[in-house]
Amino acid sequence: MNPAAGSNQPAVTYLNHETTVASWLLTRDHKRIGVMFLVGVIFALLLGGIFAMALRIELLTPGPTVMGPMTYNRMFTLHGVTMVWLFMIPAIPSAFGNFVLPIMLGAKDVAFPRLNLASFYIYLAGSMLTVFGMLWSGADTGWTFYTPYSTVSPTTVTPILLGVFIIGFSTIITGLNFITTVHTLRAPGMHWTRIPLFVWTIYGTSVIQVVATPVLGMVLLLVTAERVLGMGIFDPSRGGDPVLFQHMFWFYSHPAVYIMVLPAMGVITEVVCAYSRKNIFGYKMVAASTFGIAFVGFFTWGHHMFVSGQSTFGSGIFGVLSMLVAIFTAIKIFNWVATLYGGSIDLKVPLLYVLGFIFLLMFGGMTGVAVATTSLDVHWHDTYFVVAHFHYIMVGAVLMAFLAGLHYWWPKMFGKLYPERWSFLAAMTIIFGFIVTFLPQFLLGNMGMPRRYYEYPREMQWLHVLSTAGASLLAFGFGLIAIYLLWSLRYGEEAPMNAWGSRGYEWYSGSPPVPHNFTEAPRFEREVHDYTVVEGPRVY
Amino acid sequence: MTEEKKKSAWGYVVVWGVLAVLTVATWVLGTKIKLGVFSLPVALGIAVVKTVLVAMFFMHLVEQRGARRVVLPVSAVFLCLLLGVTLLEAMTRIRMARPDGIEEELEPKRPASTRTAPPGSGAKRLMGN
Ligand code: HEM
Ligand SMILES: [Cu+2]
Repeated sequence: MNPAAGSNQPAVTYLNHETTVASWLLTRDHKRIGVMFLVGVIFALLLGGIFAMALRIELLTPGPTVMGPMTYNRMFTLHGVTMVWLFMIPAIPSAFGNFVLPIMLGAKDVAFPRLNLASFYIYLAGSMLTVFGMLWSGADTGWTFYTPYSTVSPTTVTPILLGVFIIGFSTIITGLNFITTVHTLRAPGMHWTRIPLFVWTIYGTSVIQVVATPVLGMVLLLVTAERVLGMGIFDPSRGGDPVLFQHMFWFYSHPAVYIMVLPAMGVITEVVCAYSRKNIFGYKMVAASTFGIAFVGFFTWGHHMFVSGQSTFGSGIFGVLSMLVAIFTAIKIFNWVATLYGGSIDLKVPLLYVLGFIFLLMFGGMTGVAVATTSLDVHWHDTYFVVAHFHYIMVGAVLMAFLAGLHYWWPKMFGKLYPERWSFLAAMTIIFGFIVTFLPQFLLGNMGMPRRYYEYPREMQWLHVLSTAGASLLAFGFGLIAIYLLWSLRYGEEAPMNAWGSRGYEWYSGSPPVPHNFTEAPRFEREVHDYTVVEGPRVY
Repeated sequence: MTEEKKKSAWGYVVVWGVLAVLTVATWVLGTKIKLGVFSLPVALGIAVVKTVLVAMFFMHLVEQRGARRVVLPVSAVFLCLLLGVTLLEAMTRIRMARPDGIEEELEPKRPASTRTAPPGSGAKRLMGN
């Protein structure tokens, strides 16, 4: 490979070999599709963040502050729908998965490149329909679309239901594509026991996506049919059963929390190895626990239904089975800590996010076990305690992992370095802002603050004000990241081929990679993340 | 490929015949013969057999090897999980407060637009208790 003058980067990269708009929009290159997904999900994050700030501002005072109750209902629905369906589910698999998974396997692309592009446009179409529904007048059902309310609500639920239904297809297609890629496109030497752990988590996630998402599609379509045709599947006055909706919804949506968190765990594993300069402790256990989580995650959905009229027998079974998830999660946590232990730690920004991740995941996971205890959940259900529980995991853990991945792979994706001091400041702001935002919400929930209410008693105000203050810090941190990352694209220092001295397989290709990832077929002769050798991976 | 072309189409016709018979059977068992509590398992059982036939023969799953072979059993396991656990839960619910022996017709008719349920009526049809 011939580097450009005065630079060690490849002269022709996936970014500069074609630069027309059409070459992006019609590309079949997994890297460009990954970048387009990245732009899409970050836009969704921005949108969801604006709605979140509106909610927090409304909750500054016990009474009405800046909006009426109906607007508030719409606002939390918009926030939840955008964050869950448009950002969180596609974020890591579709953006980073697309970009690095084929490179990590030594492949030129994914198994079905055209389908991959289709997946992006399906995501775009579904998102546009959803956003259209929101702008038209917005739904007020929350992201969970519970019946019977969602079938009779006078707001525009139907386009949003259909939008999410369409996004589901994007998820399924991406999942199928990754599964096939892992099975068929591994380079010579890439045995099953050498597959990078990020790839294992994406593989596990893909299986969940393929198995569970059709059930979500079905139930959303049934709600639409009930709204439009009055079918009566969930309507008790016609022999239907509203709890059936919750069964089908959570059969997807509990595993979906693992669609969010497993890829995050994959990113964490890569980052932990890279900055402690050690091979992962217990490779096989970490890979296997991924499938333990994915499998057990399918047996716990009823823990969302303890107060829905579900049978006591059902609640008991689901409560006990929910506890099993903790075992496999603990395996991962112990292995990350054991990897860090005695490593030569290089405290770069991605590792800072990882430390935040481990702490917040434990907090979120332990409160998960607490709310999975039926007797406790009767008290906490539908309060801010649950809101705090899932934000600890979805924001505290998954979003931190997303940011860790973004900072870890930024030089890989764009060949630029970002200013380290600013990134440290932003990371500290975000971790601190997160704790200030969500810790008070546990207390609020325990005091009895219901979720999805826009009013509350005066005694709770100081905790709400604290939470809003934290949210402002979070917003400030995100703004900072946006500024210095965009700045680095233009003015940032050029990144070396392997900015972190990582032994991850994705660093076998250039930074940024050449159009088909490698100039000659890579051979994987060493174990994944082998830090016993001195030099970094050879660039092909 | 050429060999497959030569295979006769009779296999498909037979499968199609079986599907047609099963469809008629569903209808007969559902309308002419009262199966009581067995009607749901029987109807679902027939549906599953039909699905398997379509997937195996019309979608050519029987000819597949390796990892592709596990697709059908895995889907079946998860489908059983969804249906099985949901039904198990519904069957073990505590009965709603509703005096025995009152037929639905005796309860006041409500306009459909209110969509409120007479206590327990939904439970009756779905769960058979
Ligand atoms: C690991 C990633 C996890 C994520 C992303 C996550 C996410 C969520 C979300 C979004 C909700 C709220 C759903 C709603 O809107 O009603 C929720 C509730 C709940 N979670 Fe988690 N969760 C995770 C882990 C766990 C674990 C490990 C457990 C138990 C062992 C657990 C137990 C529960 C329970 C019981 C509820 C229902 C509480 C209630 O509604 O009263 N979660 N979780
Ligand atoms: Cu759950």
